[in-house]
Amino acid sequence: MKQKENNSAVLRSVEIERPGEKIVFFKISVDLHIQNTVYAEALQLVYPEVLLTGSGKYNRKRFTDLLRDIGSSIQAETSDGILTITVCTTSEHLKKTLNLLKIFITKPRFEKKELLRIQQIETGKLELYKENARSRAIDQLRNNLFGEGDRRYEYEPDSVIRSIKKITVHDLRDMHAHVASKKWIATIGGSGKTIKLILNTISHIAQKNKPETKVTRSAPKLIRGRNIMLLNIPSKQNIEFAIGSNLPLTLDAGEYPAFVFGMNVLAKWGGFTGRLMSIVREKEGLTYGIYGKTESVYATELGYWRIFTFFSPKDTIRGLTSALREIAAINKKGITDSEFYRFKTILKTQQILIHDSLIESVKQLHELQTQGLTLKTYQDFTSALQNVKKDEVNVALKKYLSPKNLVIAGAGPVNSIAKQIQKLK
Amino acid sequence: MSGKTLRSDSIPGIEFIQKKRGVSEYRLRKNNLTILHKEFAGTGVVTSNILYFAGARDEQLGATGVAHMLEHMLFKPTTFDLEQNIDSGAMQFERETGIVLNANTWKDRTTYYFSYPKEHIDRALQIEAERMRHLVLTDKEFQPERANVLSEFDMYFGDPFFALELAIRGSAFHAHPYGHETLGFREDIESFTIEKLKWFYDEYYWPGNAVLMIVGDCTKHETLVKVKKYFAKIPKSPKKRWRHTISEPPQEGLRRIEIKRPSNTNILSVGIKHPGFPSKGWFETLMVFAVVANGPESILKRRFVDSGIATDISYVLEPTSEENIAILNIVLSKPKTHQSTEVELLKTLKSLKQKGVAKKLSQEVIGLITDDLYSRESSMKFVRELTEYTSSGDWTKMFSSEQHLNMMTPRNIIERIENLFDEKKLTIGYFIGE
Repeated sequence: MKQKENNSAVLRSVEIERPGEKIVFFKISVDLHIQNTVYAEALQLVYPEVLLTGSGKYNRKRFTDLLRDIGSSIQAETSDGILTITVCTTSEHLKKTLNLLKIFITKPRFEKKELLRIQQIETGKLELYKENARSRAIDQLRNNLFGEGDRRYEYEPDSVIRSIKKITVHDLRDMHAHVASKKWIATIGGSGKTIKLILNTISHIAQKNKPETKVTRSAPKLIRGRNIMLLNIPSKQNIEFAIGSNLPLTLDAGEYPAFVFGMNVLAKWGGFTGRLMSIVREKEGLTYGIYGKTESVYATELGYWRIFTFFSPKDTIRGLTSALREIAAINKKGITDSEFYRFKTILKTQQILIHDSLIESVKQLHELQTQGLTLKTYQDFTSALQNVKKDEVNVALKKYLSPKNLVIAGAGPVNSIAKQIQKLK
Repeated sequence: MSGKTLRSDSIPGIEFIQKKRGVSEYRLRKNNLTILHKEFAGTGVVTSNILYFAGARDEQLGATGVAHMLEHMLFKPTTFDLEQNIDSGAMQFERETGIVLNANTWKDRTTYYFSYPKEHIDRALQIEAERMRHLVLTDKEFQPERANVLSEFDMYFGDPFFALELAIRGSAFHAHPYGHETLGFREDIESFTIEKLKWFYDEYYWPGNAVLMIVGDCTKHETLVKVKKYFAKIPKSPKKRWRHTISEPPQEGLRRIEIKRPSNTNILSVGIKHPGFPSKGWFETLMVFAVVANGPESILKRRFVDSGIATDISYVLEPTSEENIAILNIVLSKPKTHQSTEVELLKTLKSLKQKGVAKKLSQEVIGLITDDLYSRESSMKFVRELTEYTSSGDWTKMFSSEQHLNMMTPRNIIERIENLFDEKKLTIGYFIGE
């Protein structure tokens, strides 16, 4: 697969070409974040759903019919203040899909009856979300690391529900104007011919946009000691945990590749190679899964590291003790020579395997683009990962992976063991 | 060689069987191992997958979940690993190289795969061959792994959809082993012994009961040479493999179950018996679900989600070789509305006419044909699809699904709805949040 990058005042794009490819898959994102409020969070939940409910002269049903008649799809969602539109089609139906995309982006209908319908649906989803222990644990972690106003902060479901009900069509139109004023990021996968056609279309739409507006960045909170946050959700069998802390590094910081390397050794996401999986799961049999990674690290914003796991109530204390022990061990003693050489190979293999799938390549590159990496800086980053030195990794782990200053957020049937968990402070 | 042209993939001891749409089938004569190959040139990646015709349907009462437990054990050491002082060849492979590995067990089969840069093909095949017949099954390896499986069970059982499906299956099937969940009953997992695992392993893990798939950046010739190198020394099973067939007694009326738990969630689930995969009846069932429940413009979403009765509608339809049960889930917006929603659901389905489904049908056909393109775009995704068709008994039908879909008419859909939603095929479940 060939990769190429373009950058203009209103659009930055990466192309991934697979000659002769019939499928077409591309993503467009816009960073909407200015300052997070409960109302902004509610609006960002509702806006992409209403965007999908009719464009130009086509109402929701007609627009959906036109897409489905050709087997294409256009999806929209927001996450952490970033709106992403995902388009799936085939080379045969690309032109028709692009015509619909144009109308979708430039002429949304924002009908009041559709807004009412979406408000009801999103309210229902949030009611169910209250019992999503895994997500609630992550929310608690993030709310300890970032203040209100930060894009990572999650407001309580009940307050978001109240705000959803207040959203008006006028708010949606304002949001849409905001989208039009921002720089777009696109990642496009397909054959050379289809890529060219897509770029022409998006560039033509994007040309109507104005240059970027300035965003207020918020500083993450300083974590001192172990903060333990527990949310009781009695309907669950297991207690979900999000353990983590702030990472005062941006994507282009010199120490970031070293820290990412060390984090992979501790808790590589997926598979069984990370220390935590091989010890807490394989040797000690305390959980089915325990993984970690850095998250939400941007070119211009600091992120955090997070470990995900879950335990049955009876295994929770042993499981947490085990996980904290491994964090402490890698912080104090660093990684071994053997781990260093193994993980160089492991991370290199990861880069090779992504080439198996055009869709996964587009998804991965797009996520990195939305965080602020260009194709060039992404290639520099992967090169830096391969060239990092063991001492650099250990210095980064010592500095940024403190077992004493972190947050342990849990959600599930916690009441029976809350006191014992609190003793882990 | 009287006038015959040698095939470029001719390897002594390996018999060519057939080829379809780039997938070639072979048989290793010595032990009847089936081999499937497809090339994805230039990616640098290969996915190899071995499927054993052994799954939940082969389990006996009291030993449900043993196929899945054994799947976990295939990542423990073989006799070769112990000789070299390695805890597990498969896990070492991942640890040293970062390749992707995993496995999954389902009703009709258990499958194991590696996805890796192409230079590792020898190692992948060697490990697969070794663990086919040389697994070391001891309590030392088994006990901690059983704890992991129990942890997996608890992870799923906490989910209301899973708990409800478990109960619906148990009621829907009184005799057929599709009536128990692939994970097994917790009580059975707790009582597993090494002897039960050994029995299952020795019964089903043989070359003649397996299909080895190699898809990716490797030529046919190269692949076959390597397969022969590692697998030809494995003997045939000493006995003829017996796969029991169990007929489910006819269901004589509607069946019901109820689960009550402290929760905000309320679900109405309808279990619907349907024909096996990949028959015409299965594809018609797929199309029924697509027409009535796929996407925000589907018939049921417009009726129940848009009106505020439900928050979401979803369905599960498995590609199993025999009659199975599909589940339609409606997440209710308000508590204690299960009964009224059930009445409204059945009324809505019974009132559907051919005219009302015609447009949706043509859209869903195009959508599913496009989905097929997407689901075959990488070696890993291709192998996943190929696995389900192979498991059903005929991998070539992977390439006739489009034909089935294109032949479908609105009348087929209406008739299939009438057939599926006959009370004698239904098991209804209520998850009641308290």
